[in-house]
Amino acid sequence: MTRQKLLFVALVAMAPMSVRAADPPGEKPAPVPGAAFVQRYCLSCHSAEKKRGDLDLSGFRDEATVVAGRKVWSNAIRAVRDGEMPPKGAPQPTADAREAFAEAVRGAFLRADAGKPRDPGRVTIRRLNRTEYNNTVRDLCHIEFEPADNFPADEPSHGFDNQGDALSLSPLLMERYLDAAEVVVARALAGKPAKPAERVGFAQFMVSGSKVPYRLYVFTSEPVAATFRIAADGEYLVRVEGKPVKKDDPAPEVSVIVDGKELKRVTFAFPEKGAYTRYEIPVALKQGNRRVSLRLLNPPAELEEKKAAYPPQVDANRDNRPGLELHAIDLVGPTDDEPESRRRILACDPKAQPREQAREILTRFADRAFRRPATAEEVDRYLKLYDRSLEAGQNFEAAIGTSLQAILVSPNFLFRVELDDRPQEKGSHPISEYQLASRLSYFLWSSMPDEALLPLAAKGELSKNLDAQVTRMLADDRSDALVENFAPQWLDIRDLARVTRGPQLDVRLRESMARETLLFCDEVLRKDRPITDFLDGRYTFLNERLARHYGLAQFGRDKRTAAPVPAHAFVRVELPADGPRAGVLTHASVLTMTSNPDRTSPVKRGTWILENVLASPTPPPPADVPPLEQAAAGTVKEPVTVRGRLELHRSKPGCAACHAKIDPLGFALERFDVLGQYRDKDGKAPVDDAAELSNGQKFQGTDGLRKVLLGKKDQFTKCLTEKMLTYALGRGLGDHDGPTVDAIVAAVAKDNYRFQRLIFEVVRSSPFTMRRGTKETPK
Amino acid sequence: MTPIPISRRNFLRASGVCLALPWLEVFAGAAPASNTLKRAVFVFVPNGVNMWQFHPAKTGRDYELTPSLKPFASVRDRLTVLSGLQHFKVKGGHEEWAHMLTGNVNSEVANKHTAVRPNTISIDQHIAEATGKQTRWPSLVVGADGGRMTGSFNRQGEPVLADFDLKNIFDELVGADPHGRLKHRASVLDLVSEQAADLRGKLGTGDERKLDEYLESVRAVEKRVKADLAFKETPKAAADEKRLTLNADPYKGDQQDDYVDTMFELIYLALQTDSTRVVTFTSTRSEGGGPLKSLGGDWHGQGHNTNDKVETAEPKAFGVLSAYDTWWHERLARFLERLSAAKEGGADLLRNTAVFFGRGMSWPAFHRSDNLPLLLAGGEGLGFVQGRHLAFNSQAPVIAVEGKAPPVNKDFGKNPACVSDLLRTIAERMGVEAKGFGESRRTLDELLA
Repeated sequence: MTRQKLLFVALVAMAPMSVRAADPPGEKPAPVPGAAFVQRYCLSCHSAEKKRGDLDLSGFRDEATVVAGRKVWSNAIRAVRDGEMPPKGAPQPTADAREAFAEAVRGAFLRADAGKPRDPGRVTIRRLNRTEYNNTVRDLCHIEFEPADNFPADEPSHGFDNQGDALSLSPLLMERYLDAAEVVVARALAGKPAKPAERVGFAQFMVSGSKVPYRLYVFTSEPVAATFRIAADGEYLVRVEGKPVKKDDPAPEVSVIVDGKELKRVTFAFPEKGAYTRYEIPVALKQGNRRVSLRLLNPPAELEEKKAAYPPQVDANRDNRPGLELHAIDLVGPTDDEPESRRRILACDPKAQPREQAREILTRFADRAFRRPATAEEVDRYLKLYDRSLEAGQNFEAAIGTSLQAILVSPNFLFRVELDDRPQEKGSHPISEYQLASRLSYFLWSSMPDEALLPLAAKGELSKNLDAQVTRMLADDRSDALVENFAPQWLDIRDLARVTRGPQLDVRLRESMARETLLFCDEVLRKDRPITDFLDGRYTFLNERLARHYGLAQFGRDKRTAAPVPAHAFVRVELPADGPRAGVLTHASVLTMTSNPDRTSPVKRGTWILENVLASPTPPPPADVPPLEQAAAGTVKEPVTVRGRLELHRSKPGCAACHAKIDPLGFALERFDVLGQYRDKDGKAPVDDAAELSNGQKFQGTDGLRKVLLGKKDQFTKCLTEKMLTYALGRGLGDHDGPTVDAIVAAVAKDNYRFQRLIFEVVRSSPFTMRRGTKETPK
Repeated sequence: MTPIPISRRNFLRASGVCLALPWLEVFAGAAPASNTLKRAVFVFVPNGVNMWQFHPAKTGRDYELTPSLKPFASVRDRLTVLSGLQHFKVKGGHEEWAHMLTGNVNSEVANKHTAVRPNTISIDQHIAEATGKQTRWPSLVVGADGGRMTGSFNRQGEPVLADFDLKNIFDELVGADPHGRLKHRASVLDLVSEQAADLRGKLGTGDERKLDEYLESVRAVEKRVKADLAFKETPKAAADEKRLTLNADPYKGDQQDDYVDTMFELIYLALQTDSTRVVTFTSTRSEGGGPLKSLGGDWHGQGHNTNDKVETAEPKAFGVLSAYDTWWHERLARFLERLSAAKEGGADLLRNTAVFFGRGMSWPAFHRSDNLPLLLAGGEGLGFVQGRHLAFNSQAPVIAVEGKAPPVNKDFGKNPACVSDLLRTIAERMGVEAKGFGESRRTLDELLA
């Protein structure tokens, strides 16, 4: 091709050699990577004299200084690759030259990183945030209860509410912790079962409440069933009530089936007195949804033959057909009246002295609450408190309760304290296994490590089995927390509940919008889809309300069974390949959050993309910027559309630099109104969704935008990596995290951009598994 | 009273707001005159009324006191009788208690005896969010049924549990620490501050800062607990014990008078000591059994039995309704008298307290909820003009049509008004913006002039 290309190819090829040559001391330092490029295209403006954009590149004399100024140079290669620099009007390099320059600089970074221990950075001790507190209490005390809901809100930082530096503690919160500890302990030690079985699904004939409505007549072997939700494992009673229709009919024989397995056969004789015959059959059940069904074993032959014509019938049986008259299917319990929480917390050697029992109970609880073995000294303190409580007149259980409360307000519980277990070691070294267990569980579950993680940590085998544990933990229901907490904060839609957009945006629509996005993110995670699905996935999850909102008519029937889908249920919907919607960018949640109450905001939408998709946030506007309406007023011909007004705004030199980057991205989404509904007109004028990037690349509408964004796949991967790393570490990223981010991006790209790869890489990364030496001075 | 049994004493500070020391007496010197206290009390009573004897025929100042309203003779000038108000879309029925203060149109009735779902915030909690920080309790939520049978719902639409135990309410009011938790809390705090001090030495600088926050918070709470313990020891001006029958059982016919009278007295004490600015008393449920239903006759069932006929056609059924109406009005009138007798600054307590008295049904036979029998009392200091009968939505006087109850009014005129508008007006007169609350489209400026 051109000479220029040849030149850069040569430069790239040579660079590594020169560095290797430079390794021995006293040699000439390696030159600035891409020096000729910089000389030719950059230095005329970014010089010591001109310092355009407050950037002086002339001070970087060799490779080492470039590596030290990593942030500046990362930004430079991004600007060059995006075509943002050199600016319009200046001589332009070819696309290949741009790539070669980027590769050269990146090569310098990689060489610098290679073999060097990475600085894992430093995490401030993290207080449990509200979500983590609720989940931890749930798992620690085995109770379903959300005491943190009236704690003051947690201050977010770097886009997330789990950042150590920002999570503060006030006297008000301390009081709430004390109150919550009292309530939690009272509930956990309460003597009555917290939650009886609850009917959640009904046979199509059962309307509500725990009983069959009036009566249900069963004539054939077609089973009838009801589903129950059980909060805790335990002993339950299946209760069935019924009788033959008439006294002289043969007594119905019935098979009672739980979760597909026959539990017992019973015969409903005509009752001597009362309205029905009752059976109560004990059964041990695990928590979860349990299905209880009944099958008639001796149906009248003539009815059984024409099974379809004699379905179970509600309430009236005017013909007095023979069969089973069913009065109730119920699941009662749990019958063992010691709830799980109480049993597990108070478990101890029954033959031991009370004080030894107390020691056993308190040690076990403190171990789990602190997420590491409690020291003998710590346990002694709680035992002393127990002694004092006894002296003050409390009984055994109340005194234990007081000590449990003290554990629940201890800094070792409320904070994730990561003390250095090798303080003498100077350099970076792995965090302890227990700390790793906590980092894992709070990242993936927003909760404490479970019964599988802690023993692994105790044996020192967790870091060896990291991948297997991540796989297991992602398969666990608790990993919903990752979707629920990470996704809405990354996508900035947490405040959806608080925005107002007139009466159309009511509670249901709002909730439906948020739910769509959550379900979508969940799908990408569970199915391990490529993260590019966030940009172009042609599927989504809708309920009837949202389908109407989107103007999608095909919603309404289940594809396989053709049965009508209930209005509130969400179903996966494949989106038309030629339609305007795909990925999260066209979710109503995102489009609503990035609009003003009365009009769309291409600026907000553009900024949103830059921040949450492309990892290139723009600086905030200067203080003296007039609002859009005012900026446009007084011009000769006032433009009608938002876009028109923005174009005008953008023609002002002070605004152009940033808005040339921001606005085009937002313009492409102009076909969606303030609530994310598709439109052809903005006011009276037709929508114009054509846009041009600052490098001159033209594109149109959401399709065009998607192509532009997919062209910056690595940029997007970097963005998502940075967000997820921030969330996982609980701290903002610094320059020293650059190598980690680059390495994760490369690994994710190599594995076809699969979402779970990103999670695995974050978990393996050095900032996640290592700590700075205590003696090391923070950079 | 509050959603979680948080210790309300936490709000009780060393500044020494104690029982029977009204707010203005403590701060009279310091408070500017314009800074009068603004309060609201919401009382809900279920079931319909004897509609033939409730609304006066004439509107305006010289309305006549109907037989139902006779008990209000002494406070007639302090109260407004309201005709013609209803919810626009909210359905009537047995869950009227759960709609009354929310005006929530999205709700579906879940199940008998459970709250309506999904519900929206009720006006008392909306006000309490704004005013709650100024007092010991953001709001006082009580009811004879208690628990989830409450008219109060938080921002998430979850019921704010109602306290039914008179003794407990009283103990909290005087800071008696009934369960002796304060001492245990003090020793827990001792222990954790030792622990934190140990830990502090082992941490890096950034972490130390976090732990210092923790230690400061622990110390602040310790101080409060000590103050609370001290408060417990100080002799307090005694409440008028004669008026308090704290062990009254609302399920027993002969004690229900005492129960409601004591509850009103406790509400009065809570207001007088400025323990809260917002009170909701959801008396009892309409259907089925429950407290406060032993006035001779099945309240709910007899409502059905009236069959929307004229009084003479169903004398027994209407008689039972009248008995309940009179019983409640006597109690409410006494509460209003009590408030008006208490001086606060240059005015009386009632002047600074808007009292809403709401019923969920009008004609009970089919649980109609048009032309609800509502009263608004006091609150002149908030701008309400009292002493009138006002008819909204072109409501005609109640006159029999072909020997039956008049049909539902469908012509609301030009400027329709609903219950949500009334609730919103109360909130906004308390200085709490409530535009868009429930079904509200406007404020009821008619009440202010």
